[in-house]
Amino acid sequence: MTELTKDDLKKAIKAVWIRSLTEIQPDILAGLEHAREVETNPRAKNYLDIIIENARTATKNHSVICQDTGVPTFFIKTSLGFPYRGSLREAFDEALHELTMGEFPMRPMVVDPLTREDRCDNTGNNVPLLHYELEEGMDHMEITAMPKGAGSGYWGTLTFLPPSEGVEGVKRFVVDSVLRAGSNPCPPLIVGVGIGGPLEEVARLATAASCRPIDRRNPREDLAKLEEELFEALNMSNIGVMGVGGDTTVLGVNIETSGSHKPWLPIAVNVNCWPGRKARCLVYADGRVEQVSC
Amino acid sequence: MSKTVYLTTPLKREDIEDLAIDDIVYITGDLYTMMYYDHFTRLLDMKAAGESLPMELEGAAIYHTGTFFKRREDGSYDFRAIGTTTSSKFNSFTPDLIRKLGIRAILGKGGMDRATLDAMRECGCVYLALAGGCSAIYTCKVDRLEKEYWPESHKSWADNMLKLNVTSYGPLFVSMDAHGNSLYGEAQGVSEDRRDMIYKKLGIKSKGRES
Repeated sequence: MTELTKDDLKKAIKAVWIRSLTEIQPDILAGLEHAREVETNPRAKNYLDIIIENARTATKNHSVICQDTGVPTFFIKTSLGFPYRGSLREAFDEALHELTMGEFPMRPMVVDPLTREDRCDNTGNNVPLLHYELEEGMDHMEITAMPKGAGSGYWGTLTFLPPSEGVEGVKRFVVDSVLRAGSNPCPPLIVGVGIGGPLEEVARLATAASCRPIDRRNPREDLAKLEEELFEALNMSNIGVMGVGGDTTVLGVNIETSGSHKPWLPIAVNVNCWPGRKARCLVYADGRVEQVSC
Repeated sequence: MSKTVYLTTPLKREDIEDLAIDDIVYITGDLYTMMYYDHFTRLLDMKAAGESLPMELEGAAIYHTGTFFKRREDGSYDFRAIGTTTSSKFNSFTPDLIRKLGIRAILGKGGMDRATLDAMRECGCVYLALAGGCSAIYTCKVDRLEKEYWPESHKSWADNMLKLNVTSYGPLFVSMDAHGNSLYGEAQGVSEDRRDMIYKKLGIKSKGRES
């Protein structure tokens, strides 16, 4: 039986990480182009032109969209039967170290949260962050890279509402989170909302939500409607592109839910800056790698 | 009617006072990059102690950024990326920086607060905005990294205050002028009217614990 080697896995990790920093995904580009068409504020239009030009230039020149290459964060999905016997931790640590130190030099972003110690290679305790999901029957490993930058990451929020607040409380928390962030996180934003679960689940849901294509609504009808309502309402805020006002404050609002406890209504809001950086690849046992959009 | 203006550092007070919201500026000369709190406190502490600074900031333009570069063995620099960072992080230091050091232009994103706007009006300083997340286009506009200050103060080679040489760097949008005008009124503190309008649209009746 063919087994995936650590070297092939590292190659795939490096390629998908670089893609996440240099290539804008089709759903985000389409969202920006649509916003450019409908925007009525000339200042916001100017910025949208620059942003779209930057996204295209980065892809063409293979250069980073943003200098803040973020905290390396990966979502890995595979099956228990997938033939890789090496250490995932080692493969990801080495991949980020080797890129930062020479193959694709990046600004070292990762420090210890308290001592502020900097290894200068974008690794740290548990970083790159690796989130695993098992799915039976997969004949490949799916790796999704989501660099989390400082400017937008700072504005994430999480709370436990009393269930009596219901959908109204959910709406209010999302609105208040986006208004509080204002012009700071590089709007227009991709807003990921997690609802349900205990603490770690609601945060994970918010992050997963912001990875879903912004033109794809939640399959549950009530949640799809809520996404659309929030999208429309948040774009009335007049925060606008880079904070200069106008019709475009958010590019998309995605909601994901999980079951929760009876006395809880947990909610988390993950705010992503306009590039909504994400990239996905599928790695097969023979080392073949398929780059896909996500 | 907005105008396009080409300025050279050191910037003169009258040129800065001539700028209005929506004017577009291109700067030639030097830009000083600042990205961490200690860049600000170090300059202010040295000034307070009567020490001379290693750069001339009278008429200078500072740039809220993140950068990355490599020092080559021969001491020259391989400058690889620059982009602007969130200016509001530096609200608390900036009025002093303008009043005590004579800064005439601040390049950044997202805008700054009322106290900064007041200091700008008092001393003749403007806020010039760039698009955030746009390293691909702003990096190739830098001619040279001329000097790295206090390279020993940060372990990472990417984190120091820098002097950059630029030619017609821009477009930079005048977004807070030297006459008390700012584009960021709502974005830096969204008005309660706007919040009420959104609540009404969504059928939200009561204010929550967070607002």
